[in-house]
Amino acid sequence: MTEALADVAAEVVEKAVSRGAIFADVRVDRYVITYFNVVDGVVKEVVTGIESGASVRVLYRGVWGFSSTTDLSTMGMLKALDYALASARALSSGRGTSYVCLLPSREDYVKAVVKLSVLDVPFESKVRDVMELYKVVSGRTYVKSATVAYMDGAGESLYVSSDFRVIRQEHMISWMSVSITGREGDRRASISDEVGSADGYTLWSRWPQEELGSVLLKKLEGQLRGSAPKKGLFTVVLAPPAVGVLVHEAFGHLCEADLAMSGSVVKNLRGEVIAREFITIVDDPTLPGGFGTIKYDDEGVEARPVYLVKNGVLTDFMVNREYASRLGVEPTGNARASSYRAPPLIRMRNTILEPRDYELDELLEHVKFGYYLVSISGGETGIDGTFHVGLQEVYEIVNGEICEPVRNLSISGNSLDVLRNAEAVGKDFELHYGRCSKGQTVFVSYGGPHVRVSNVFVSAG
Amino acid sequence: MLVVSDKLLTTAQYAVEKGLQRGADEVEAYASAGTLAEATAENNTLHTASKVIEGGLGIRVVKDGRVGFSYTNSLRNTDVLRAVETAIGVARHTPRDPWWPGLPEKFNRYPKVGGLYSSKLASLGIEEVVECIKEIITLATSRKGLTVVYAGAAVSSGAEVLVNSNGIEVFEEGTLASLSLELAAEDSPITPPAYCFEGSRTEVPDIISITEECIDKALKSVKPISIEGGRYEVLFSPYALDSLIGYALAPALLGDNVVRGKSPLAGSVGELIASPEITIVDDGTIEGGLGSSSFDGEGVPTKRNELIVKGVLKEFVYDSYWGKRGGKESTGNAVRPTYSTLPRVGFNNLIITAGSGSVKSYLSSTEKLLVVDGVRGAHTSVPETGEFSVVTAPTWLVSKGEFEAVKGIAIAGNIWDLIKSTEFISKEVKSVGSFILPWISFSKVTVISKY
Repeated sequence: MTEALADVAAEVVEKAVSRGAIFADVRVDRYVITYFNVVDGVVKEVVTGIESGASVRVLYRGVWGFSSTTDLSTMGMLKALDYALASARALSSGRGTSYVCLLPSREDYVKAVVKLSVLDVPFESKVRDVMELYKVVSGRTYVKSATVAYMDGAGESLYVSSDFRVIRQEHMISWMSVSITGREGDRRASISDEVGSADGYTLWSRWPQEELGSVLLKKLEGQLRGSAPKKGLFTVVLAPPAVGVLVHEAFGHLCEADLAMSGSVVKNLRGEVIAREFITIVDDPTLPGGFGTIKYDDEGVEARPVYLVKNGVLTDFMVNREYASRLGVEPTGNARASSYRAPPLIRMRNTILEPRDYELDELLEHVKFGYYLVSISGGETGIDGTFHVGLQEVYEIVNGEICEPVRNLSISGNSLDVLRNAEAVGKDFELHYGRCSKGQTVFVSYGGPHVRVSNVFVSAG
Repeated sequence: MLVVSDKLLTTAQYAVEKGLQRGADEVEAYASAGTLAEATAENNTLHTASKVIEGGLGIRVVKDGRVGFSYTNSLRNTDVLRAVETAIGVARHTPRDPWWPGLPEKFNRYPKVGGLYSSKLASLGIEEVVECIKEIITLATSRKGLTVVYAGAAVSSGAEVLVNSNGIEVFEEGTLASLSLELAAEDSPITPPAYCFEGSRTEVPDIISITEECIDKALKSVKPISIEGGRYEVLFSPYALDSLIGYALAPALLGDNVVRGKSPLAGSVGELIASPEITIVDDGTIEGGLGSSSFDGEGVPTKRNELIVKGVLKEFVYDSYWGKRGGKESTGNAVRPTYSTLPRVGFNNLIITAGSGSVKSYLSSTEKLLVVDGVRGAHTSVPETGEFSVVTAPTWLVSKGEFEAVKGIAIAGNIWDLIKSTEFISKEVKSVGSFILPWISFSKVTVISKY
């Protein structure tokens, strides 16, 4: 991205201020996107495109005005400013209370840490690599159908604001999702998974096809051959991928300041003990190699770790510039946008439960009968903290041993109860990769160690 | 024809011409452009207003049975040409698809679909959209103890065109206005927020009625009680059905899932698979339908497709690719959410046919049933089997028209068992997204009570 573009953006925010905005910012994105999928062995959809455009946002008399454009000329961007200002003016005759925290000026250029650029890998090689995975997963008679989708994106974003922040950041991610449908006798089942990396074309060195394929097949076999779960309250041991999703989905969202302050169950709990002292949950943008590893967020704010729970105490909410000002806290750098088309929202980055000191054997040994929950297929949480999560890889625990697979199990309850009932935390750690939707979709990471939790409500479905 | 349609048509024609000139055997260009004005409020306060004008073009080219796709978010000729060349480059490296059916051939006749565009709606600016939001907040906050958790109003207008090298050249103009609202009563978060949505292709939906409806639901949701688990009759509102049908049932009616062995209905055409009261139709030609259009994402005319009639499975929906693989014609169900994506099999307006009684009279004459207005976790359903498990909220226990809010309820089961046990289907229907749904009650639903 050129210096000239930064100059145009600076001119736009300056004009915004001279026309009455308290604050203004411009974000410019330019990414090359490659996507393809393999549907039952056929390369079905292949897309290459350039995502390039700019957003203009103004804060005017307590309300926000927003517009975006794909015309990156001075005229195009000034027109977007006109739209944003006109929108804010229309709204400002009502009651608006928004404000932002302003920051010291800063200029920075953050280069992506890349092992092998996705732009240097020929398309045929990417197809060949995905096909190899397809061959592994389709090589069993019970597999009836499989889709593998691959996407990579490489490019740069530019952020310019009226508090004189000029931040350029490079990004390069690759991502893949796999879904497999199986049938054996009259049993039908499906499983899916996602992997990703933030340092270029490194998916296959981290998840070699054979290895990833057998993990996926084991999941599917469990769903086809497993027994039905019992219903009721059980002690469960959660594996890292399940811990990660649960921490993100069932707890993290509640601590996004916009949701928290609109009345989520944690609204008035800052400073309160909500779990035992060995529970620490942090949204950490500094973890190496995560999808949420960023130096600055999409409001040009330095991204710092946020301790949602520190040694059992509910500590901080994740904020953007607006909620930092509203709550009177330091900004955390949690504002993220899916693209130039949308204003940034408060989003998670890498959300994890910190490991402690138990071995898996020790977590299992006191469980007479319970469930070992490995992988989550999806879930949803209400602002009251009630969540419902479906599992796609589960085993029975009998007398401290991991035993037979269980199919179609789900857990539900209130997130705060689950946190309170967390009994012991393992010493291992894994970081996983996925996407999170909140109107817009962004790439996030989540993870943790193994954890034992008592009194979790288990049912079929 | 609006100026924007004319410009889109010229650009799409240019793309197809350049694609053929550059050696493609077949070319298809889909272009769209439009204006969106939107305003939102959070926590009783006006928050963001935006106005965006955007357009772009997606280009699909075929060379020797190899398919490539690219897109551009600029409609300048130089950018369009670059997208055409990129798509051809992509096709060159893509393995041949043995099932590629060719782009659709030219059609002589397209349905006339009314009520999709209103010049009055198209002329509304951000000021009018902002007025809608202000009115909602004034109405809702005039009632003690209510919080507007979220309110959104949006008006969009635009055009889409599709041109292919087989002679298809179609365009359509459309407008859409929508309001959505989330209200919470005083004792939230114990009380789940009430949600309402209203959309129209030709006018701003009635603000008073949507706000009053939402206020009524929010106030009815306070002080929820716990109930015993067990078997209940459960009445699902269109909002609740939208998720449940969308995730657990509808995927089984998509032709690609049938061909790929992912639909539990494959091989069941002609069989009774639902109660005889259930008729499900997909119809892109509904006047003013939120998902209506005279042509689909490949330029194929839309039509009325009867999928389940009086409980008997009749057919599935297809685009041209999966139609060919399944030995069927396209049913006009290639769906294209934006210019930057390839068409996929999807629904235009998925309709469950209305019944005869009114919700109100049914509730006032029934002894004891649960009413569910929203479900969470429907996306964890297993469409291959129809199994689902959801948390429901808001939920009410209703006896002879008296509502009592209920908390801590989950419902689990199989959608194909449920759909065989309908007790009541309302005459009232509601458009939620591109689904048009009545209120439906099912007997003997397994209800789990947890807290």
